[in-house]
Amino acid sequence: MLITPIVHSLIIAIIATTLTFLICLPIVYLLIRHPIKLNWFVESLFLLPLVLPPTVVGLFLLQLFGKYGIIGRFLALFADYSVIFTLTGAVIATIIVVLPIMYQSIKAAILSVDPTLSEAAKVMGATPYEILRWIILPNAYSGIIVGLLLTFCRGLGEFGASLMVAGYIQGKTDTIATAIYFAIQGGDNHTAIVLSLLDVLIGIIALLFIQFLNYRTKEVRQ
Amino acid sequence: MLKIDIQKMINKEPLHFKMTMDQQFYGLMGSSGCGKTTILRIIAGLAQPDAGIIEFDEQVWLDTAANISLPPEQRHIGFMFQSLALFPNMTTKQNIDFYRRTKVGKTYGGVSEAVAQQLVTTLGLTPLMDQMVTRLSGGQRQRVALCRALVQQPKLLLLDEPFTGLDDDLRQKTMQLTREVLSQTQTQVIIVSHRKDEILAFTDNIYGM
Repeated sequence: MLITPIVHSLIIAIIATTLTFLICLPIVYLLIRHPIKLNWFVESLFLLPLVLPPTVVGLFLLQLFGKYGIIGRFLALFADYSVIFTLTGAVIATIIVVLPIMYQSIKAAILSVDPTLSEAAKVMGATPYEILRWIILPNAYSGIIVGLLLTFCRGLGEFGASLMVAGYIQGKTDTIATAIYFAIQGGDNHTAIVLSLLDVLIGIIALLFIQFLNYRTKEVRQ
Repeated sequence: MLKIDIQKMINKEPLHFKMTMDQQFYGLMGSSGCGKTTILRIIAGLAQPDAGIIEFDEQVWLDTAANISLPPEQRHIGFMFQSLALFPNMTTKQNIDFYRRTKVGKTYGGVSEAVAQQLVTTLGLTPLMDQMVTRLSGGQRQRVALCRALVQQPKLLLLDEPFTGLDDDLRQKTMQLTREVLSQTQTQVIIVSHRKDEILAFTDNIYGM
């Protein structure tokens, strides 16, 4: 009862964090290096889930991945597969919800690196990849790790969108957040409190680590 | 020989800069905000003028009319930024060796290992090689930046306010050492400063802006 929601939440949060990082890093880096006229549009698209209720995100995903959705029909036709009521669906919903946090964190971290460092590397013949690998990432790492942790924590607590897409099936798609909700609904306060305390503990550890990173970054800069 | 003839709007004022450089040292002098750094950035390929031409040894680096603009890495320039732009995540040695790690550096090569070692020794950097650059003093950081620019064996070296932030005594010593090291190379040098004495320490060829 207690184990599967924890395992599911961790799996969803880890995969969603990893994938959003891999999606956001190259896009943010490209948009900063080569700003396009539609920068505002791309950025708004990434930040949109931040201003929408998770249930709206969930509804949108249901329309897209559901039985009659564009992607849903495609998956059913060619792979005989549906992401609805699966952990994959929960991962997709979580990715969309945490995308703005990762996008903003990576952008802030990259912009915090003195641009003359990149220019110096460029004059010395470094390629954009070399600049990213040797200059940007090592100097922006604390900001990026903060982004990873915030994204992970948000992913761990994702409720609305993933409930809409993956539902709550015990042992199959239950997560910490959904298990707390349904435990309360079923009058099982003990399970709800234990899972809540666990979530709080993970959150506190993550925040302490962020504070430690901030402190260390300030020390290094001094 | 470097030939420049460029136009650029700077602070809503049109700037027309024309220069032919056939000696080793040239200085650009002017008050803050007059566009000295912008000129260096245009020469390096880090900024674009509104119109103009830059040629170096018969090679066209920039010709806005013909839509030609060689990227910075193909100009083989050494650039010492006012902020020095040392990589804070690296040691002195890693900063100096950075050029050899890059794609262009691996192809073009820069100075030989022996010459690089000699530069390190002359600039007094040997005991600092394993130290993080964030731990170095202002004068030490200035010497690292100069060494990093010179190991590229640049055709042209751009020095943007290279002695700013150093106290008078250290400034004099660093200027003297820089002049000695640069005199031993064939590299052409443009030095930008708002202080006349800094430029006069290198050359009488001064362009006022």
